[in-house]
Amino acid sequence: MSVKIILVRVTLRISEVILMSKQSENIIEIEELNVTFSLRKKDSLLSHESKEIRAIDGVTLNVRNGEILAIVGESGCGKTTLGKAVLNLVQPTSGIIRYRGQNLVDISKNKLRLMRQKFQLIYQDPYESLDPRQSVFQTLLEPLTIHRKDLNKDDKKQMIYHCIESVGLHPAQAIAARYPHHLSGGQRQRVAIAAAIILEPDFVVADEPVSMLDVSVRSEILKVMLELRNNKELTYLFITHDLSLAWMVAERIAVFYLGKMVEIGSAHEIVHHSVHPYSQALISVIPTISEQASLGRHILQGEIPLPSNIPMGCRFHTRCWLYQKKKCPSICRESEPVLKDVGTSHQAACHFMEED
Amino acid sequence: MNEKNINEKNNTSTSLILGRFKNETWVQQMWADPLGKAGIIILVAVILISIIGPIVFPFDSKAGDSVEGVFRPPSSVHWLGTDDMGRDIFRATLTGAQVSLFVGLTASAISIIVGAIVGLLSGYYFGFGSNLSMRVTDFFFVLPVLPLIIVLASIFGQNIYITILVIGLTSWPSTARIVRSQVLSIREYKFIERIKSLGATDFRIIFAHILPNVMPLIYSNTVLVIAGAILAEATLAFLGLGDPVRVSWGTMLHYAFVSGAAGRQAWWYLLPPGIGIVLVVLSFTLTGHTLDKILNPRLRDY
Amino acid sequence: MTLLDIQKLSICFHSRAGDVHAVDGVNIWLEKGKILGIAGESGCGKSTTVLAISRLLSANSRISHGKIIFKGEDLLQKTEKEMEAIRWKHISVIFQGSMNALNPIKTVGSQIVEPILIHEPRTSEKEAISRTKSLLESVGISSKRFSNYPHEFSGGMRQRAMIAMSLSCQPELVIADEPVTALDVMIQAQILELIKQLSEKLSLSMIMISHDLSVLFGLCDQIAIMYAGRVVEYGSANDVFKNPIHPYTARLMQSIPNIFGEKVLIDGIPGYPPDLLNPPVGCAFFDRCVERMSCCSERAPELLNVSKNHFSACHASYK
Repeated sequence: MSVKIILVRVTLRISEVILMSKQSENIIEIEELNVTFSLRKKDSLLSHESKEIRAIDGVTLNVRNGEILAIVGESGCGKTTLGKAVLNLVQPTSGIIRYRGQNLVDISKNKLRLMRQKFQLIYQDPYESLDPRQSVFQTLLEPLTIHRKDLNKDDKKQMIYHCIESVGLHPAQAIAARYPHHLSGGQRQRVAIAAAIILEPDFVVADEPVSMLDVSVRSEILKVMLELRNNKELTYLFITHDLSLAWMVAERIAVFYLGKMVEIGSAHEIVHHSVHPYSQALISVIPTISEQASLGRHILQGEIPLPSNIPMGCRFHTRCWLYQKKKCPSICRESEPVLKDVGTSHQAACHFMEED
Repeated sequence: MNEKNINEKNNTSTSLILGRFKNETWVQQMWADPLGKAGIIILVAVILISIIGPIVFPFDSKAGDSVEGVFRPPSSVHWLGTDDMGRDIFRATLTGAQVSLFVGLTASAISIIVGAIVGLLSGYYFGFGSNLSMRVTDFFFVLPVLPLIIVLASIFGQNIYITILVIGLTSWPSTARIVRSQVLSIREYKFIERIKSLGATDFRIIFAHILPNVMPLIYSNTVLVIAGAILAEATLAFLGLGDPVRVSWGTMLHYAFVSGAAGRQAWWYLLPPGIGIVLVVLSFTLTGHTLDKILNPRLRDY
Repeated sequence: MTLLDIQKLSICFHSRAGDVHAVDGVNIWLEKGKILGIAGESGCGKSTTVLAISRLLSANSRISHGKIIFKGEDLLQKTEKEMEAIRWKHISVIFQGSMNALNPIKTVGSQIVEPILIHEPRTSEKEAISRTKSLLESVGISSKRFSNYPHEFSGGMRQRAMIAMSLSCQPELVIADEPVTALDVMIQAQILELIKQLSEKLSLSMIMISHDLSVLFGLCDQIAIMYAGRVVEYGSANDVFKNPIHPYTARLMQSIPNIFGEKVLIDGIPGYPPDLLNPPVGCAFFDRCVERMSCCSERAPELLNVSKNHFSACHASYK
């Protein structure tokens, strides 16, 4: 065996041991995360004026080992940025992100490279997440070429075929030779999932993985994802704008608005017993033919404020129906609510939490 | 899950409707287009002639010991007549094809390699280096061909390699610009970010991922660059700035002009090289534009 | 009174690989003052069918068969000039991706005034402008934003502007092709609510197309479900959503997560729609249908009345 192979295997083992020893119940811990983007004013090159976009504004969140945590919110709420920040694809402005106890934010480049195998991302758009000029085999080979230099050609081949089958694509050899434009959207998404799991990560961020697929194809993809979670002990951060999808798939749901988490709890609690007016509004507009929809619909007026212009006090008060109902109490305009416990593992940030 | 390629965005009946038939190679698609077909036929004919012609009908650039004499119209001995020095024009045309194509192809090779590399690097990286390379590109973009070759020729002498160099140096910027703009948009595609998140090096991303996706554009641009290079060579040679030893079509036109062929109505001296240039440039242009039509919709498809 | 009656419409697209039978013998009708929803997944032919009403299909299309009867006249027999008089004045369209259908270099107000001036030439510009301003107000845009440019509007507001534009000449029929796709959930709800209010206020007749069935809940009076270029079920919204007859509709309804039901992973529909280059002789849904019988692959089922005003194209439903 060559020195290189031995070296890689030893490094892998050592990093695994280090990681396992720090294993806690939480696989990811996020503390006071802030991600701010600044855009310089377009018209003048010399101007120092910049618009600040607070994509994530002080978020504290834990992801438990083996769970599926859904992050739900509309555009501009920061959910995609959160997913990327956790994977270190976006540099946090401040705050701490820990993976099994290990701080990811100020980590050395080499360590980060090793870590990169442990967490992966599945994209929304199955048409853009694969290189159109690479066959399925080449797409799956690449992660192995970069990180698993200890494997020989045959081992890699076997791993690739095994991976293709584990996402439900048969026969593996025929699929491996295909190019993305030969595959349907659902098949491409499966390949994207395969590419994400081939390095055997334990944490996967799925950013709207089924929103661009036809309704009848979605459940197949979700089934694959859930099976993989069970067989390979994965943890998912499931980002979606669709609350009913989150309810169906996830154990816990976190609702985001304009960069802040406004409510978090079990899926059942959030959907049936939510206390934050924004979550309640989102749930009330889920289209349903069921007669059990006894909740009055809260169709919020206006648009989501721009993230460069976040309202003072509670950022939701400008559209909050509860604020209107309570005749515009000044506390909502002046102070930002913090997350408070509302029940078992159920937290919300509102000055007037009440069940609808 | 069955193997049939079926209905979804790219392979669906809808995309067939829009004329994209992905299961055909691009050569087949070019053949189906009448202009493309014409381009390919002429191109293949010209290349074959330029290779085989001078072997079958070698050209002797020394003054002809022709029995017929100078400025003779086409006859059974000299199929396209003779020139001002009694040489056979038919053979000269065949050899000229070789020279013109050689210059065109080599100059284009320089142009495309330099242009593609500059385009890739300046498109992928942000910041100072990228801006600097764009300014350098702009500089070369506005370099005037004629004065440059006159200056270089007067320093280094007139030869075919100077011509190639000048054409190469002045035509790479357009390739660089086109490649750069394509790289700028490919860079934003999600698969690039995904591969970055895997820990791929920049080198791998640029050459294993971005370059293959830019290749179709480079191919179609290459063909057009070749057309331009051949035309440029002909122009320079016509003005007397070409290699006096190697006879290209431009050189033939130059001597025709200088020796007063027009005045003597020696059409057989002027037409062959002229038509030759037109045909070759036309074939590359037709092929290039058709290729563009076929390959570009695919690029937009992503 | 039946405002629109599409009878046995068949549309082919010509491609180098052959003819794509995008729409195959479609029967759809709409009563005046009602909202018809056409639902189906991508590639089922719903947009093609509806664009044919305004004769806005691309050059390589061919309407091989059928009639489109609008107010008693067959639109397919009309000349282009006659169609121009009908478009916008009688039938207007809110296009898919409306948000990008606005001209970026003209103000939003002027873009709404334009069709008024073209189709009602006797209107003075002043009148047209004031009509536009009140239209903007009625869709929830402040009339002060008349002179804003499209880039100054958000996605939701641009959609409202498109709705205002479609109503500018007071048409009898409004066709909305995926009007709320790509909008945030809350804005979707706002726009759907707006459409509902406007249609009640103005007694509009509308056709709404969506690939997302849930968007059509609560809004449409009638629903048509399309699959592989054919209509497979047609009836009142109540009937189709609550008691679907056709197996495809039933499976489609099951694929929508129901937060008031059990928390189980929904079942999708395995398989793929058929290739429209060679449409199957029998029922298009045969490969994926759990209730299939041997006759299903031999004869294509027709859209027949199964119960009161509830139609289904399925051999199994005749029993």
